[in-house]
Amino acid sequence: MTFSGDSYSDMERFALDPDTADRLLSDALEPEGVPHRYGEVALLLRLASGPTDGARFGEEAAVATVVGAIRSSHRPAAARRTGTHARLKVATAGVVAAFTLTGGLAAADALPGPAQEVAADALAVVGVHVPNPAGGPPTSREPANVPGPRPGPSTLTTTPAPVTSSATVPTLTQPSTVSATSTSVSVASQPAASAGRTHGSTSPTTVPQSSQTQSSPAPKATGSAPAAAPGPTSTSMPPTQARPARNPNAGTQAGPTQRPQRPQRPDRPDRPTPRQ
Amino acid sequence: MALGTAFDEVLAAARAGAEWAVTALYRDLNPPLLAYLRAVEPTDAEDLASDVWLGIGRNLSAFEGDEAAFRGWAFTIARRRVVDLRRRRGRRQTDPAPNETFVAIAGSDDPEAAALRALGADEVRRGIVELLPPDQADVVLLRVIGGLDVRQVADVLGKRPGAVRVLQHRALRRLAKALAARGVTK
Repeated sequence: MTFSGDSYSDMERFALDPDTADRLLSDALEPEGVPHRYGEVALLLRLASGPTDGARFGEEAAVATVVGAIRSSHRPAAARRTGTHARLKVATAGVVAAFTLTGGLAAADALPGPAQEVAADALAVVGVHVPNPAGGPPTSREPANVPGPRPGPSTLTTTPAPVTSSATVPTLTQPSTVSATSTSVSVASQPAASAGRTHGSTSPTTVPQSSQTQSSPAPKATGSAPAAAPGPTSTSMPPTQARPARNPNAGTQAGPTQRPQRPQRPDRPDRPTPRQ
Repeated sequence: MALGTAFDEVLAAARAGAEWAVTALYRDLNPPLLAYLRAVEPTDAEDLASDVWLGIGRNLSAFEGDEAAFRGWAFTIARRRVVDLRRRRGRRQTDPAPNETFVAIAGSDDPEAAALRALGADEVRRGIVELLPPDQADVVLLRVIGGLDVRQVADVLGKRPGAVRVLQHRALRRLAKALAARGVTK
């Protein structure tokens, strides 16, 4: 006996090679090719592959069920897409509303100090300038980089920074030897600012009293800017950036106004540096 | 393989829920599915077939392959339904039957071929299931009724192709011996 229960004599009597067995099950054997003792097996298998009675019974109902299952399997995906779109729209609307609200409050200087500073810095990136309690860029809604003072007289008279009701006007002393370069840089990098009030002036521009509005609060000179000191100053230092002052009670003294130069951003190497 | 080259078009339309395409798939595949299910689970074959088609409909959008692969996938679902049914019952209904099955049906006085031809296809398939051990019967039915090749049967049964070849070889020898021993085959 073998492990499968067949005796050796049975194995010889019902010998069947694997290829023939495969072809027998595939119905690929011609009748004359069927091995001895397997003729009725071949007939049995042929009969087993015969038609099934009633295979189309209830076909319409079965097909309708399958179609319903197919269509219902599509719905969850569509619902998921719709839900995703709706959530995306809500999120976008929320972000827009948050920016609008924050920007409005920042423009009205109604945010707390640190928040106002953060908002001012953030909005300055996109070109909108709002009051900044910590100083920094100009605090106006106009372009920040108003061209700096053109080369003027060799010695400029610097007046104390006039303070308006909304901001102070920077007072910078521009040496004639260095300010040209810095001015040209500013003009080149900010062409939109060429329409500023100091455009085309060859001397420090005196801003009329009426021009010191809330929309253009002027920064005050701070830090290493000696130009903030009153009195005649002759210096070779380049223009320095002034910080804005938030002193709504300050005076409205008019005087020579020079918009501060915005320092060149070192992180923009792709922007060519204009040359004189 | 009745659909042939039109299978891709039919499948795409069926995925979109076209009734005519589902009808074409059903008419092509339901007869062998039902034949297989009637052979292995005669009392629940129709219900099982409905479950199989429901499963096909639910997962048709995820299916990728040709007509042969679709056929194999459908029989895989069918066999899983059968296994689930047997598991629920807790017992197996298709125990191997004594070798007298075909003799009892045909009668010893009838010529062997006439005896077999007197049987309906469903009876013949049922006799195969009763005569063979379950795994051998599955191999024979999937190959003969489903038209699957060795590799597809191996995928359906979760076996290696070599194991399927061994099973089908033993199944044929067992059938030959049973028919010879009971006088159906001289």
